[in-house]
Amino acid sequence: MNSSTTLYNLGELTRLGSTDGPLQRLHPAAKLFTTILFIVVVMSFGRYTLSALLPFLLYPVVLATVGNIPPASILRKVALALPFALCIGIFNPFLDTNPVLYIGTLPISGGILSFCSILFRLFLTVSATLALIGITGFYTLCAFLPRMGVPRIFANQLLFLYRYLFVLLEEASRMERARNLRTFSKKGLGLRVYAQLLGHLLLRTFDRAERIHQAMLCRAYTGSLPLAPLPPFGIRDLLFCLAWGLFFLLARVYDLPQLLGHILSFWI
Amino acid sequence: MSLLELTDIHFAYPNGHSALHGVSFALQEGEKVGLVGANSAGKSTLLLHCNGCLFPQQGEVVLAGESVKGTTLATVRKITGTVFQDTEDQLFMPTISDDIAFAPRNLGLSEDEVHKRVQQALEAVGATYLSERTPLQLSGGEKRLAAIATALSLEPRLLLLDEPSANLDPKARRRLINLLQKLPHTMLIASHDLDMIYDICPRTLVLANGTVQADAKTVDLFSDASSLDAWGLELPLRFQND
Repeated sequence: MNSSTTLYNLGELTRLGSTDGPLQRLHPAAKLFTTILFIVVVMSFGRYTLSALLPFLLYPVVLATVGNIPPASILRKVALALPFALCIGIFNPFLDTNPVLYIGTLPISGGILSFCSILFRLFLTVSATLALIGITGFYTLCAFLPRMGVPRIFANQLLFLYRYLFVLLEEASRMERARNLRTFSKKGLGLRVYAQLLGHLLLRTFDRAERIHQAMLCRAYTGSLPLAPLPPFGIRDLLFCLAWGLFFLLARVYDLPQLLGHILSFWI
Repeated sequence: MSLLELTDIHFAYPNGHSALHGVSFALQEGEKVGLVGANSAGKSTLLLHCNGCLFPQQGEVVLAGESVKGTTLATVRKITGTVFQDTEDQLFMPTISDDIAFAPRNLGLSEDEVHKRVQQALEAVGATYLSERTPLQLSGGEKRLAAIATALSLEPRLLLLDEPSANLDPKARRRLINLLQKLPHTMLIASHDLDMIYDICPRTLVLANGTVQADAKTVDLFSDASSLDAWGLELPLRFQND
């Protein structure tokens, strides 16, 4: 994947964030608090839990479906976060070899189960966060953070990071293209050239930061970024939080797939 | 009284490069003035002195009767609108309407007034459809219009434009020229596009080696091939076939 593709993939969620829809119109606080609650509940399960986590799939799926976000765009980005989970759990199957589960006669060790649980939790939490950004928009989220007590400077930094990430990637991709055109499919001069390219990119970033600051000063900037006011927290927002909160509570207290299995076996 | 008056401005960058030495000129309210010169002539540095981004090491900049210095910056920036050469530097907020609202919100205006200013600025540049778009989704011409709108939302008395026609296709460039002709603001336009300056500015300043080499009617300056050549410039395209 070259930097232009990365750029496109990142931009995809920004565009989805601006689309109008029932979830998009919800107050960002409702979506943010519900997603934080979702993450906390998902992470609160024991390390061997897998089946009880399955119902939680409903939350990112509903957000993505109703929010009109193509699943492929979320899956691609979840894949980017996968190496982190792999680093955390890759040794579990070797360290914890006691069988805790049998599928037929096949023993499944605690390590494999906990590794699968880590991967599934990563999938749930990252996809829910991406869906949240997709239906809320990064800017709206950043605008809300200071109202939650997050220092304004962090929210501003995040906002600028997101805005200029694309510009930086575009610059990097132009430099990469210019290098490729004169290396004739060879590796150029290897790491040394890459180090120089990165150095140039850093210097350009300094220059740009200075110019942006000047542009801000010219428009009466005095140290705090003025953000658009948010609509009031309405009854729909409250219902959204309560309905999902209730569902998370149920799914946390009862192992819903197991319960469903019992009911079905009872009927059969 | 002049709207902008520069008297004997000297400025050198920290690396020792002397960008301006002894620049003096005045702009009357309503005037549209071109600022031309070869690369490194000091055009951008001069514009940055007019809005208080840089301060002269010698000499004085007076804007609307007030000397431009640290204590008067708030006033200076309320009456100047700057359009930078690279629109990516200017459009730093996530949507165009947020970007245009940036200055009015910084001034502490009410949300109704902010909304009105955003609408007026977008209407003035003929780009109301850009309101909710992000800078990433805009063409070069649209970004330029949006950048001008961000400056107009301040309701400035003086517009400073640095290479406004750079990187524009012919049609977008023509739309920009028509727009700048139509806007009633006092303007100082730095550019290498002499044909555009000819279309917009009745008066032009030529900057070379950090000093004003000529300050005259555009039509007279741009028909003098030998002087233009000496300043590192050449005849505008429209005169080259005569």
